[in-house]
Amino acid sequence: MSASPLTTAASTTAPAAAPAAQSPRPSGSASWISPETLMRLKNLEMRAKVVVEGFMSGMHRSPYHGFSVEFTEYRQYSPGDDLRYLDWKLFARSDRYYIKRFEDETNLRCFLLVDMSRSMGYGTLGYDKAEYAKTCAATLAYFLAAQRDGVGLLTFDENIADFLPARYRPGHLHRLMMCLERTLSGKSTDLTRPLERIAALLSKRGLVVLISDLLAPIDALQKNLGYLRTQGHEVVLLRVLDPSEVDFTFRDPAMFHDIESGRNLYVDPESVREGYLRRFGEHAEQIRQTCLGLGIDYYQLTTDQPLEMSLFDFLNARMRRGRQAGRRRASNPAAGPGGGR
Amino acid sequence: MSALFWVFLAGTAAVTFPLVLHLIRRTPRGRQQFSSLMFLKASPPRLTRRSRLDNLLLLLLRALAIVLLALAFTRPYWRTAADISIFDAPARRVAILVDTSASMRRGDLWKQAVARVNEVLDELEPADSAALFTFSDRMSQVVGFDERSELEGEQLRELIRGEMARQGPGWSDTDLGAALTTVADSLDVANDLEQTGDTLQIIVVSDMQRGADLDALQAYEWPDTVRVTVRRVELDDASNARVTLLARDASASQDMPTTEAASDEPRVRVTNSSDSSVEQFRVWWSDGGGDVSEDDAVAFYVPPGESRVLAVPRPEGKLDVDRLVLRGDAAVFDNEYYTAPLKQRVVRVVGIGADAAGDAEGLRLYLEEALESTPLRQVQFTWSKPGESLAILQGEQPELIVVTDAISGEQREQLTAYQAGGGVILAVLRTPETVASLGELIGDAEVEDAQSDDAAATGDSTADRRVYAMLAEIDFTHPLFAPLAGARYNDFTRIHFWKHRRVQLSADKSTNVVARFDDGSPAVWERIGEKGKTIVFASGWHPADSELALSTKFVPLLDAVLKQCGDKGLETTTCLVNQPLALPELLDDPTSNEKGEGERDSAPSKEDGQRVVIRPDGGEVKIASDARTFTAVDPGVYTLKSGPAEHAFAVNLAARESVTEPLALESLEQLGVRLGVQPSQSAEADRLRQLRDTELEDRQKIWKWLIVAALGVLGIETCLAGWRARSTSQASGEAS
Repeated sequence: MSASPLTTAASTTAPAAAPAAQSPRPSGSASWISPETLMRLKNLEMRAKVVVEGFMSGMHRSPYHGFSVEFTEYRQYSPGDDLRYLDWKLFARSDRYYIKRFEDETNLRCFLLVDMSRSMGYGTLGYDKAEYAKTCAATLAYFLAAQRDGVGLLTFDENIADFLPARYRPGHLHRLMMCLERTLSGKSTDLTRPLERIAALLSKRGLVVLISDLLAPIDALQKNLGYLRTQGHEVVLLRVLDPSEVDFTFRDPAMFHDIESGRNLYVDPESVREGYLRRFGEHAEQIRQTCLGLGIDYYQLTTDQPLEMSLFDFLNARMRRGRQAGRRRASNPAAGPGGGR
Repeated sequence: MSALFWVFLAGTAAVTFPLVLHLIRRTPRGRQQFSSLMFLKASPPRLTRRSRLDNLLLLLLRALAIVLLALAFTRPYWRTAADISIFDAPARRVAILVDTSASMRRGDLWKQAVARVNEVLDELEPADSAALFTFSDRMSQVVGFDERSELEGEQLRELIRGEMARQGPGWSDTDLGAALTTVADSLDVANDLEQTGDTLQIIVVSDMQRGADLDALQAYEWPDTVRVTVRRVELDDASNARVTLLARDASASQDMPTTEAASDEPRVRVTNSSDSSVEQFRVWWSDGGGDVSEDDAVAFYVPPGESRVLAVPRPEGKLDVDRLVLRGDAAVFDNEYYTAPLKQRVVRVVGIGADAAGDAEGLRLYLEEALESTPLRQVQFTWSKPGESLAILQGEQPELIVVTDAISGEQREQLTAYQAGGGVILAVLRTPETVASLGELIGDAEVEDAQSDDAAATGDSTADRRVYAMLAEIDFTHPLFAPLAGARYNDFTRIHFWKHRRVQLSADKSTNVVARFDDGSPAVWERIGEKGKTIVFASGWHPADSELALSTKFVPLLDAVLKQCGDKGLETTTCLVNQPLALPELLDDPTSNEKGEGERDSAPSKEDGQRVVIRPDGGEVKIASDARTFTAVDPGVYTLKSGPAEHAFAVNLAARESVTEPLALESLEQLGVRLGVQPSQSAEADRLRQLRDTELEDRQKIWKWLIVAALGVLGIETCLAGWRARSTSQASGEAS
């Protein structure tokens, strides 16, 4: 395939915590299936399969290369160590015995936190944000299940709706899809409780993917995300927004109805657009700064973007994590004379 | 054309509302669902002006219907020619009743009262008549209704204003009930007599204190035609406290046979009003001249609505303090309590007897010990032997002569003359000879039996001690025994009389037996002369005769004897403002007779100058010789000069005048007083006019025709609108 997504230069929405070395996000979605088309598939599992397989077929390299057995450090040999791990080449160079140490190979535990509040029921493209978020979550789940990683699910509004622990076993993915297909029921968005719950439930380190529109005050967000981070979890934030929320493209004055609170407000879009965009931008910037400060990968997705983009963002974050971990190990003074891989 | 309710014409404004809204307001057309309004702020609807008005005729018809409806609600009518003049309504007769009691002296209450009266006068209408009355404990008419015939309108008001300026608050208490009933009666009676049909109104200008007396209203049937309204004057700070000296003598004399002494600590009560804002007070004695130091002040802590009683001792060595001063209270009118100053009285006692001074077996020693001098009394004794001429009687007469032994004939004559001049003799029948020597001085007495004396002469003292007499049939209403009448003190059975003279008294109006022995013979009696009197004890108080000198009854008994003699002075030394004080009779004046008279109207006569009352400000008031009472109008310490004798008496405010808490007007209503304001003449004329207009409108009923017209207009509007709609739909059908 000539037009690889990984080699496309332009990026529509730059990820918040994107370092300079990050791979550019592909812009052209001509080769990928459009969200509108995808949403016509009623079966969520089918949608996920379409996205993941199309994504896989377009890749030159395995996106999860290096996830498995990874070298971590050298340690001086001491009698009793297993000779299988002795680095003979290093012994040849330095005339000293060193033991190569490797990371334990474990399955990834990934938790998908999906916002099911009423505000997610908003959409102007024929489908709403919730539908998009569900497909996104299903895609990630399908992808991880294909890698034999454990996937868990937690859907929430102002309360916690469904919870599935992270497992890899036959039928688990199907149950997860069934949970995701349930309709919206909640009212407002409360991020505090799901995050607290997840923090309480996850004993081993894992990956937490939060999919929400984040249309809520972010005061408590920082605290709870920070708590997750201090427990050692990796957190990825996928913010799903409708294009009209980002650009506020309304023209005629109308009575705006808040589908979460039921509040009505008479709004003349022309007179309030500027203020809306400014406040919306400030809110987004606050979220971005919060994530940046906590080392969380933050991506903003609009519902008109292909679903593969979310998968790309997810994998991108994972790869960057892998590289950062590698750099940390390289700069560790206990790493020995090899100085890295 | 006129209308009953013009205010409903404002309903025509309803025409403009839909029009303006139609022209100006553009309501939001659409409804837009949105995920969250957290980034949105309300923007007001944009105003646009749409100048085009379609269907002007329809609009006009609808507006006309609204106008006709509004006109119908105003209830219009055609006015007739005859109008009601203001003089068709009754005029008002207003009695202004101004409080001049002592409590009106507080703060600027009197200024407020004058201002209120002026307000009332300003509100009067030309046809109204007014009168001015003042009241305190009695009511007085300052400007009456009779003056209405000569003065009209403004002149009358000026007269009342001038008279009001001359009035001022006095020192009396408040009898609001009597004032109200008197004025209501006079208004009602005058109205009945004159048949004017005026409306009757009493306007009370007062501080309406709770201490006002309303008793007169209890049994009074309030006239239906009289209404009362109250213009209350009040102070921002209603604090008031009162100081009162508790009358220990009056309350104690019944039970406690002690005389007042300067060393007694007078008890003082401070009462604080319930709406008071202060709690700390100081009380001290003063003589009015500021000589007494405030260091002797006693601090009182009295919470609002309560009272405290504490002892406030008189300053050492100062008997002339005459008032209690209270400090800490801003309302000063009742902050001083006056009392007659104490004074040491010189009492001269002449004794006739053979006892040596200090002889414990005689009478003299016990007499001198019992009547010893006190700060309020200095007793001077002079003793003469029996048989000696009483040269001392040549000069100033002594207050008391005590006879303990048989006297000579010369002495008896002298004593008779002394008694005829008003003197008091205490005769102790120590021996039968004494009875004989006193003769008529002790009444028609005859010694019945001298047996007990004979027993004494034989020296059989043990036989004596087994046979004794006791006092019985004591007349405790007599001044001699009255101080001992209390249940705790009236037991005389412990006093044994070993010897006494059994005397047979002939029935005589001038002889009054006060006590008898248990054998029926008189023990104590008095022989009353024309002016003076002789008090006779049938037994001595020395140990040979009785145990009387050793009993607790002895000193009070002799004190009571001492009180019988000398100048009696005033019966009471404390009275209230405007309360008549009984004056002592003029003994020396043969022309005196009984007529009540007061200070103000004492006519000068020949005898004037004999008795003078010195007011607290130093002024003198001569008392007519036939006057038996004196009435003081100011509080303070007065001095009655009657010949050489001077008697001080204190005049104080009535206690209830200090109860300055506001009186609830409901209590007046409960007593039957009809509160309310009579309508003025113009208001009454307006009311009559309104009544007539209502009647006219009720007859004409124009509003019905207006409703019919409105319905007609609405019918035309409906037809027109229907025709327009049909023609429009036809036109659109043809066009399509």
